[in-house]
Amino acid sequence: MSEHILKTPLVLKPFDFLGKNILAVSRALKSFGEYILDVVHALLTPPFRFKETVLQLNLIGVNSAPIILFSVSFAAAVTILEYAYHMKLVIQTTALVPGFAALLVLRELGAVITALLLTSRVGAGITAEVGTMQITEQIEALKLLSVEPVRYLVIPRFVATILSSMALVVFANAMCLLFSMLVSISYLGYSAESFISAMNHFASFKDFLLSIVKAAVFGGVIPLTSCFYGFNCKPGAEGVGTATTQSVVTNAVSIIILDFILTYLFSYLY
Amino acid sequence: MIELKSISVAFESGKALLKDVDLAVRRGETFVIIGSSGIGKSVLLKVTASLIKPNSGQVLIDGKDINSISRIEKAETLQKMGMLFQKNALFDSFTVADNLRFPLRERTSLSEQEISEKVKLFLQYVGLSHAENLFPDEISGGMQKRVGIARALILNPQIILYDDPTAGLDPITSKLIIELIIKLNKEFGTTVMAITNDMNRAFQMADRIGLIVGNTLFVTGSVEETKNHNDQRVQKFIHGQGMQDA
Repeated sequence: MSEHILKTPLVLKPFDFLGKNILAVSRALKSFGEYILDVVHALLTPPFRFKETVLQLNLIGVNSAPIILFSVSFAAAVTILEYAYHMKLVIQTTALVPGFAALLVLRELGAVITALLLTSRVGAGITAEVGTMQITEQIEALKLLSVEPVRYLVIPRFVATILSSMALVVFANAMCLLFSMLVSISYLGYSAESFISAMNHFASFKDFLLSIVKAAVFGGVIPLTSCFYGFNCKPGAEGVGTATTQSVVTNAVSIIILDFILTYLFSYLY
Repeated sequence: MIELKSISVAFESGKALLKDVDLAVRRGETFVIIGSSGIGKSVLLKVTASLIKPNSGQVLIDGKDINSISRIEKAETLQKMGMLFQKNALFDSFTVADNLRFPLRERTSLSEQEISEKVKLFLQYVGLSHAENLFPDEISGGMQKRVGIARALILNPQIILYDDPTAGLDPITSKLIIELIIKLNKEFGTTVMAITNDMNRAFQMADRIGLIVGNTLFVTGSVEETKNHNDQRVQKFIHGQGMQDA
């Protein structure tokens, strides 16, 4: 009789299956908790690695700027066109388009699209890089030199991604509003002054500031999650691929959930 | 110098990989660990380097238990150690020279000029002066090993751990690498713990040999004593026969 017939099918061992999964999840949570404690410790105690942080600022912030600004501009243009179409259809006017567009851009679009693009461009890269270092013993080589991997790899990326994300969201918001205005001028017949005036009725400076807070939170989550998956990467090309995929998915889902939580909390401030 | 006391390491499932391993490596000695693949040789070496924490037992370096000393003491103790990793573990975003500069920048207060001079000297030792500006993926496996050896030695450690230094190399390059290791060990007077599957290379470099079998390590003695050992398991391993029946 073959071995698989002798084994009890999974459906008949639900407690075994459940128990194993609970254990696996609790182990992962414990490991993540310890990792976060290491990050906090490294963040608050010297030595600080300014050189690596500046290098990461360039790699993460400067190098991501073109693709992010390009993408958010088109997202803003699409949003304006959609708003205009539906407002014309439902309330037969496009007077509210600039205000609504500005609110959407400042409260959601700029920060979330930037974060999702950073996830795919930077987060995936960090996981692949740290994962490759993990499976080729480079992390162990660091440890043997008493160089803490968290201090050397995570903290510079953590600080650089937060700062980059905040700066990129400022520029992304500006580009989104600019493109929204250009589409409004060319498609809806607004002048620049009338667009800005209509926008100012709805959006305020507080919206802009809170979008930067969102950017900082998203910017912190991306490197933390990406490095964690890299450190826990399994051997081989498949291991790196799996870790990278899991990291991108976790980051994207985390950003969407955090966006909901932050939007809910900020609703008390608007 | 290196003392392992009742070291036990188990997989996550609880299955024992190493059980009650005892070993004492004397100052200046070259101790080579042999054993089948996947039996725990690399794990034992990484336990010695405190890269893996054993489930039980002590790793004493100059009498200090490396797993129960303070962070600062541990860093000082680790500075006495260099390691050549099985996959070389060269930092692939650094050039060959930067791979050697990195430990000096991290662990010493040498000036950039002193660092550059030392890097040049060590590249000369391993015959790679011409490759200083190349990246690890631009050089051959044998050259990568030599960079790894230079990096392991550059902090003048008292202990060097070689994790399968000839893995993946052809017999001629393997022989050259071992000759280089022997030459540098004599020059620097280091204590060596090495692992290998290659008996010729083990006999070439070892003062004493230990075989891992059945979750534990037993010391078979000097090269001659190992060759003439009356334990069937040792003879089977030396002559490349299966150890399942041993």
